[in-house]
Amino acid sequence: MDQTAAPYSQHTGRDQGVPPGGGSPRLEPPGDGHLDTATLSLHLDGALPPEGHDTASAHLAACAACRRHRAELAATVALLRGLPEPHLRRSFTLGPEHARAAGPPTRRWLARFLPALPALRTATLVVALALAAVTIGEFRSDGDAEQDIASGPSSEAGVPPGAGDPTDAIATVAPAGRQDGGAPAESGAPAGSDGESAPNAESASGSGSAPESSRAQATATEAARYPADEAQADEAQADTVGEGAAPAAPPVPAAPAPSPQASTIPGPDPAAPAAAAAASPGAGTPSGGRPASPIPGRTPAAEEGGGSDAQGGVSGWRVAQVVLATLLVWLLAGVTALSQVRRDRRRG
Amino acid sequence: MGWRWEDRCSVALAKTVATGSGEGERARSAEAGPAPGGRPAAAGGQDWEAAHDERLLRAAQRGELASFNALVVRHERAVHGVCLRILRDLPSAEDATQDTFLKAWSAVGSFRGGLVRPWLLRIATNRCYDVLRARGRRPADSLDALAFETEPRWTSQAVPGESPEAFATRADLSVHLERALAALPDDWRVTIVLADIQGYAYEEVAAMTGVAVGTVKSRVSRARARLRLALREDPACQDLFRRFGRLTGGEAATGGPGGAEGLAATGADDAP
Repeated sequence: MDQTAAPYSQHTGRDQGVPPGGGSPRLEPPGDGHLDTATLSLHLDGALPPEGHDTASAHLAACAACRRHRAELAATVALLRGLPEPHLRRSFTLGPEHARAAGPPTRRWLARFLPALPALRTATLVVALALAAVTIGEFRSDGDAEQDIASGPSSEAGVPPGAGDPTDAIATVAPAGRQDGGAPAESGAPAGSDGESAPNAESASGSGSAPESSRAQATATEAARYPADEAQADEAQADTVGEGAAPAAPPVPAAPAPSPQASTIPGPDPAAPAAAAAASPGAGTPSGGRPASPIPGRTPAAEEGGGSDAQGGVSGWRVAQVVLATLLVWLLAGVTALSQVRRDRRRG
Repeated sequence: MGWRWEDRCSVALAKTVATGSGEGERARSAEAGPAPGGRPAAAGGQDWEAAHDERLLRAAQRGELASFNALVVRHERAVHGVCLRILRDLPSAEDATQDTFLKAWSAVGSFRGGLVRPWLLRIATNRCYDVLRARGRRPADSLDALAFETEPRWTSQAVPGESPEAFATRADLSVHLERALAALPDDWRVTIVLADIQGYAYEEVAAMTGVAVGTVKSRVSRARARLRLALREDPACQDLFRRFGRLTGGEAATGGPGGAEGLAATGADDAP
């Protein structure tokens, strides 16, 4: 509460503020029968409750001293209301440096991630490509399953030749892991020049129900072509990254903030073909010596998925799709927000 | 130093009807009547002004600095005026004003609707309280506290319908009133600056200063009483004050006694 009451006035001696409760203000100080300053002040503002207002008005009508007191208060308020505003010596608008220093908090928070924007963009592209690959792979696996059913029982029906790339996304690949030579080519196919890879894919799928040896041969041809595709695709850096990263990135698809991981992806960029080759040794060697063994051995990727059966593989497509789609949404949101921040920075 | 309220307040009489947003609002609030009674001033342009403020603020929330700066231009005079009258020191007031807008900019995302100027003034009031606390409590009536190092210039505006004589008298009295105002205890001064100079209702002042409505009412009435006595008993200005009282008749200047509206609203919450 305020400590010092105005000591001068004959009326303010009892001026202990507004009466509590607000119901019945103390209208008349018992001493001299005049209205106190608090009452007059509230009366001036029209802030007294109705009955109090009427009582005060009645007293004012009869009492010249209180009228004068009130008029002086009113004059004081009028003076206060009309006090001049100070001139500004300068303007207080914020410059860009202020804006950067203080900016809206969300933007400041986001801005810390600005350096990761290129990596995030790359990661988005990679995930989009992986999702496309998985989707195509699933589509094809369905087709193969039908084909297999039509052509009679074969080894472990239903698992696609291209099953290598979902291995990358999520480790569920079945027997097809054996011919994973096709896998990197597959995953490279959407990334690289579609026109060229598509026939490859055709031949690969065509060989899907063929005897093992010819199948292996098909994959070998594919693998032979694959580096060519790759070199060709080098022109678009992101594409190369896509190929290289497709096997590398998605094994950790659930990470909500993939920028740190993604940022490492562009690094080994030149090594992408090597990575692809390393992921498919079975295909990499046959590309040199064509007559490869029918069963080109198990790659690390294939071994990861080796434990799962055919049914697991089919559901794995779905899981991979969902995970990749979720990841893609997050990445897109992040890239959009960061791009917006960067645009604002440039403008501001 | 060496520069006092009297000199500073040798008012630059710009007797122009105000134009521009800040001055326009100023003029309106001067004629708005007893705003502390809780009655909103029904000026026609106010809705538009508020809507415009809101538009600018939404744009600022999207990160548009230019829109925020438009808000700064619209309100910097009021914010600066409040800071100067509370702090009584031009450099501090300018710093506080700048800090207010920086704070507002960094907090613009957390603005949840309502009017922009009260929001800014709340930030400014808090900032000024920080400065006052940091300063330590000066003796409020020390003349040293009233000395300024640099001279702000003031512009007085005629209240619409005011006679030239009343305007001149008011300008002269303003000098004395500023001095009396500077001598008020800090809490009272903050309250009276927001309630009577800026013209906000008790409830709004309570929200800005973070105290109960009853406390605001109490501080307003005490501050008015103190100021009235200062004007009335200062030999240098009591004649002027009487003349001004006659010229305005009191009633006319404040819009007369309050009507029934808003009366019930203010009765409920009172001093703790």
